[in-house]
Amino acid sequence: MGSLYALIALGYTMVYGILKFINFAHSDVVVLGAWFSYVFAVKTLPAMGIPPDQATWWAGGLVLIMAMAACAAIGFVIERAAYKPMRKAPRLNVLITAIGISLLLQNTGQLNFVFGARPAGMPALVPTTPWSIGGTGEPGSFGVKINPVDVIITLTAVALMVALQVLVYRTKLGSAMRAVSHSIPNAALMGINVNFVISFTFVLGAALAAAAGFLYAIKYNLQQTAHPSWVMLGLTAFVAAVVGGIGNIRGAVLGAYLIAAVQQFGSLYISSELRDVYVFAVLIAVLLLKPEGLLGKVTREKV
Amino acid sequence: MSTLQSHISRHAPSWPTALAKSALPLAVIAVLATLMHTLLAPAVGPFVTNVLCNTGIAIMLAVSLNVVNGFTGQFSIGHAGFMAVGGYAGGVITYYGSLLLFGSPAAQEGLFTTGSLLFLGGCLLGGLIAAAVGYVVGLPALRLRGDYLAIVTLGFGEIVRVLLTQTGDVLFTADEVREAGVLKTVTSVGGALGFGGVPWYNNLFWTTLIGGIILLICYRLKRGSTGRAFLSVREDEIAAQAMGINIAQIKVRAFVISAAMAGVAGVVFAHQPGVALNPNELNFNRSFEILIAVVLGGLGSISGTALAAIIVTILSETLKDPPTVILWGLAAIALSLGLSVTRHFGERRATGAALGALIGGVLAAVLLAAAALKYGEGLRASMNAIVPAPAAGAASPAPVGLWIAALLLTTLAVLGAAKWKTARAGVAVRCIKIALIGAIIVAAVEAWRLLAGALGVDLGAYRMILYALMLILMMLLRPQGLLGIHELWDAGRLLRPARAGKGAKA
Repeated sequence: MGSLYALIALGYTMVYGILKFINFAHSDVVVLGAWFSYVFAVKTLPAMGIPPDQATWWAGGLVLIMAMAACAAIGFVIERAAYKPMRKAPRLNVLITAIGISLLLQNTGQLNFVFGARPAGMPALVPTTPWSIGGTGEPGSFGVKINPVDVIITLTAVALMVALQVLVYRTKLGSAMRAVSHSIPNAALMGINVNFVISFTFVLGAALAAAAGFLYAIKYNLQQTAHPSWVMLGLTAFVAAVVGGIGNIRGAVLGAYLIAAVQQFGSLYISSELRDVYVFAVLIAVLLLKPEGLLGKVTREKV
Repeated sequence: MSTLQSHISRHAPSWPTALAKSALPLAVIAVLATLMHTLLAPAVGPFVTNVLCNTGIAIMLAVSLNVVNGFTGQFSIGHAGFMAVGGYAGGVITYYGSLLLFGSPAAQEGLFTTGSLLFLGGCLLGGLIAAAVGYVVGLPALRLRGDYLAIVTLGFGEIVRVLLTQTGDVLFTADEVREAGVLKTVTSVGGALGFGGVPWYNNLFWTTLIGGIILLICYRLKRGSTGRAFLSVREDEIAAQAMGINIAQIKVRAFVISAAMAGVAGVVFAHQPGVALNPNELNFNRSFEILIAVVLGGLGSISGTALAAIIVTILSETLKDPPTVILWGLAAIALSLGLSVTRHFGERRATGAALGALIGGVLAAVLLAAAALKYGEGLRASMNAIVPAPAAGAASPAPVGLWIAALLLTTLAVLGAAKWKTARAGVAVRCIKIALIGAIIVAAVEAWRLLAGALGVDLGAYRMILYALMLILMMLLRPQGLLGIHELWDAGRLLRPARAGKGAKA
């Protein structure tokens, strides 16, 4: 769960770091990613001659890549059409636009000729029988049962995060991204194509969101696109990004795992109904006590 | 200073006059409410009355959100939470009060019964409780910037919803209530199944009365020193602080007032015939509908917000099977108003704009009258809100003629503003933008209707898409909403002949 939040939170963080703007529509890209992977798994794989139930590892990977590509395209379109013209507009207007896009994505996805208004389950792309580590699988024995789905989710997410880390800290493009997040005019003066970097950041965020959606889909059931459970997912990831320090990539990952832990332990020990309330409680606490997040920088407002 | 004070006290009206002057609008509202209830309601039938009541509630909610979003410039998107809190509080009072006093929760006949006293008491208490909650929500607002505040208010809305779904089952008899004691009774509001038993005391009279009072409060607020303080905080916080305004106090005050009004609106909503309070319906989508009314109408404009609330409500009702003509009429109204009060025109050009507005308004009135005549019988149909008018067949000959009419309308409006010789290019562009918005709204609805006819699909889901598109378009083309920060009644000033050399008024 924490890995999923981390992937989504990374998208929020990157966009905020560059544009100082919270992309409300990000969680809807996750939903779209999940649904795209469903569609690809169900329609495209058989078209390629692979029946979905007997898919192998690389078929799953193929679906993942296709979903990521599709969402990246959508992210690009959104950015060009709706966010670019508003780069100079006051913050409130951009936020409202983002909300508008979020609702647009949600409700369009729910239409009958797009994805439909009913939940769907992904065909099993990965083996789902649990492994037991240590002890036998009998009740009462002292062992741990791990579902390989979880393992795959975590491994994929970690792999993607490592790839992102390499991209941002070791490549030229990554340096460009970091430069733009410090100061747009100066980056432009240094010869960086700022528009390209911004678009690329959005695309990257969308791709990660799609990956998160795919991973979510192979574990949980897919609800319709406007279902509130998606909103909670995105919102929790946003809270994770804020808690870790928005604009900070390592912070996003840290915050994500922290929030996931709080959620799970809270559900376990106090009440599982109030799961969402914990998340917001943590958010409010962090915002009141340390508004820049755990790993963020403190920026003083100059008058 | 003493001479100034004595000067003021000499010219200030005596207290009976002042009292009469302040009470006059209240009297007008009371008379209007009575008229609407006794004359209008029976004339148009229960369904339209229901729509009117819903519209009134939407107006109340929208202007209350306008206080914190529009006047003060904060970004609060959890408004349905305040509505829920107030609504449930009022519902508890009326329902359990009725159980205890009368033995049954059914609504009593007649306008001024003990039951309606309970309703009013519920309104007051709902407003107070919502105000207290608003205080609690306003406190974090002091430390949070726009984006974060949005998330926190959203979270608040969700927390309220989740907490409400955790409550116990509704108690059904007076004995159970006496057994359970106060605390348990208050928290037995049905949980996720909804609070269905609230007696339906609301009617056009109460809606108009309470709505009128809320609008009056907003108007007085905006014109008074509190309103000016709000607006100054919205424009530039630092400058406001430099002028000696305590922005912390102002922000919290804005939240409290806004929450109180939303709470009262929630109570009225809870008592609306045909409504069963359900926390899952008072979610973010609801907050968003209120938000879009505020944004569409103009952040900071009471009349604009009210107008947009009307548009949004009627859109939701009629978009299931829209009588096209009404929508064209609405678009025409929106258009002409937007044109008439745009201060950017300046005094001289304003007469051209006002002329365009007049023409647009007349055409709108004609269209609406035609609609009323054509669909009058259909609109007085049953209370069943699913099919408001058997207009599917009747509406099809309308489109072509209306396209032409709308085209004429928009051209006239644009020309009206730009035809004066000294018109500036910017003026014409703005006219075109506003006209474009109106035309797009109606064209979208028209296309949707046609699509539905072709595909035979259910249009309910498209409503939110339409709202979303409208929102995005508004932000791109005219971010300040239809009326910006100006009011409807400012148009009068623009109609007077301009004095040469005078610029736009402040």
